[in-house]
Amino acid sequence: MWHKPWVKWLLVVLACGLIGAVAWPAQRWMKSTVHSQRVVHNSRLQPIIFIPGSSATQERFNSVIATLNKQTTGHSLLKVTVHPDGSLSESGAIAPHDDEPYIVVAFSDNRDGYTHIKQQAKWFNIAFKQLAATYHFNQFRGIGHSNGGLIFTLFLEKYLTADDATMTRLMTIGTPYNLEESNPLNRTQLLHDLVKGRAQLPKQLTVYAVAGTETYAGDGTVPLTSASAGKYIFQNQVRHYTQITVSGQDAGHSDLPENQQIIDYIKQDILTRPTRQSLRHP
Amino acid sequence: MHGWRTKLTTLQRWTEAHHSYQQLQRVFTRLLPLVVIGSWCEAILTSCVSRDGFFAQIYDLPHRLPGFPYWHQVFSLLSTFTLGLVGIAAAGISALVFAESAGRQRLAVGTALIAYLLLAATTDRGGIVTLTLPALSSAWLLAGLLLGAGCGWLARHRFAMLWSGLVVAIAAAGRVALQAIPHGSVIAVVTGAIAELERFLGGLWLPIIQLASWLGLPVRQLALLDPHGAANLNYALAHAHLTQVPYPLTTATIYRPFATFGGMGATLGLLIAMVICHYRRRLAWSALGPGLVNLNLPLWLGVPVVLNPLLLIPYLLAPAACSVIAWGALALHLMPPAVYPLPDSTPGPLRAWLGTNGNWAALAVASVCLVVSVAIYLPFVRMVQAGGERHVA
Repeated sequence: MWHKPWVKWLLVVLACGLIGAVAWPAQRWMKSTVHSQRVVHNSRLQPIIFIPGSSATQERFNSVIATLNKQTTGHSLLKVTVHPDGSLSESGAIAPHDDEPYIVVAFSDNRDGYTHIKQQAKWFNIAFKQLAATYHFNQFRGIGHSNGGLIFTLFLEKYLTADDATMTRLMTIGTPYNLEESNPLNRTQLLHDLVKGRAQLPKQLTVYAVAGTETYAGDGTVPLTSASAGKYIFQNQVRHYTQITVSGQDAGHSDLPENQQIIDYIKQDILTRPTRQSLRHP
Repeated sequence: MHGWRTKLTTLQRWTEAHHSYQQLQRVFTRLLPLVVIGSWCEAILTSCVSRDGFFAQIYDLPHRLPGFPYWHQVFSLLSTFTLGLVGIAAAGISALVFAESAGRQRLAVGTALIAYLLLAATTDRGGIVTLTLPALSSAWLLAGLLLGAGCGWLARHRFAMLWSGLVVAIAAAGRVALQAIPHGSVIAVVTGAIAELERFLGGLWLPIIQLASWLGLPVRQLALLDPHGAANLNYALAHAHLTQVPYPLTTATIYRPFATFGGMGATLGLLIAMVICHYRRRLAWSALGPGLVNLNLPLWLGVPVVLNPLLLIPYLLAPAACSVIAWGALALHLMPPAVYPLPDSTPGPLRAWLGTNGNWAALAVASVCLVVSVAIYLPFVRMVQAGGERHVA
């Protein structure tokens, strides 16, 4: 029987089938095991990074964070300013065992304008790499006020790779995706570039774009159409994209971060465990 | 090359001409059925019906196989009372073989079994005797062989009854004396010294372990996750890529995924070489199942590899060659290191591929290692084969 040629071929086919029947489920199992191990491994430190808008310093979010810490169990705060040469100056600290600290990243050159914003995104990348290496995190969430939201978007499109870290949630507050232009048909160079680079955005990101309205047209500085132009960038590109418009008290552009409704959104959508007993840091 | 072959053939003839070596082979032949059946039970136990077994994991058997815990218990019992008795069976059978004459065999076997059980038992102060089952297993093969051979040899001489009684008495006294020594501290000192030596020798430690296993000494398995492995794993989990893990060149990234196909000594290469040479194909096929999940006892006793000077050469050389290949591929960045932990029962050639989470270059290097290990075993299998035919002729 062994000498018939078809028996040999049958054996070869059988062996290949067996190898496939082991290799295919094995690698599927391995992928899912590694994935779940990674989730467990990465679930620990996940800072919330704030970037202020133009002309604002690292102190911009002090009152917001103070309010947040009053209304939740609270987190420690680290404030970082990036200097033009790429060096960092820090104040405050991340408390040990605080797995959701706040980090504010501001720039000593905080001028407005697309060229400056691009430069600031580059500086943010330098600061981010250094912070991630120092504090060993590879997941983070972000809140950007005004141009800070643009810096985050540019950073996601141009600098962040999935190998470095994963951004899970982003909230932009009064961010002018089309600068001061109110007609969405007139795309500025900035919006044009951001739309062009949208394929680089992380697929598992959740984005909340919050806009304020004092008038029916905008928050007094940023036109509503510019704040909602984020849809051209994020919609159908990230996992979730939500537009929120707040009005009423504190709906002016500079008051937005202190707006209680927006703070509620931060508590609800950005903080993971707002009521968890965790370390309060003065 | 030719000169080497002549020398090796001479070495082989010299060993085979030795009377005690022939008797040893006879012992192994008689042990083989127990070992083959036991190895299959153990292979099914560790790979299919244990929660951390390779096939159990990839096919999700704990949830899909009805009565999974009972299957585990059944195979655990089967394996304990087949493979787990190889040590004591070796004592009995070697006493039988070494006693030679039928009249003395019963005495020799009885003495060997009683002495072995005495040494394997423990008593507490109240005099309650417990038997430790692991002491009966193949880990103590060499001890069993020596004890059995000694009893058999004594039984052939004058005053055999007296000598046998003495052996039993010494075994009992030895057992009590061993217990009197503070056991834990001695073991701690010995394992501490071994760990120190291991750290000092680094990669050179591996051939020593292999040599010890070739002698039939109990050999400790490699730790599942050493500190370097843990650091590598942390890095891999944090960064989702493997190109810059902190310790790319360790035992766990080179030796284990590339040089232990089929168990210690890369014996899957031996198995394939046997199939290619048509040398004892029945043994090769019966060793295939356990061999795929890295249990090589059937080959190890069946060929035999253990205490066989000729096969010691490829037994050391094949893993060394595979390690060098894997080291080279890692140093040249042809593939990332395998850092993800895997069950012990993972089929050898898949280890690198799965341990890198599906890197094809790693699979290619593993295939090269498999081919090289077959090529290294092949001439030695031919020599053993030629020796066997000479015997028949």
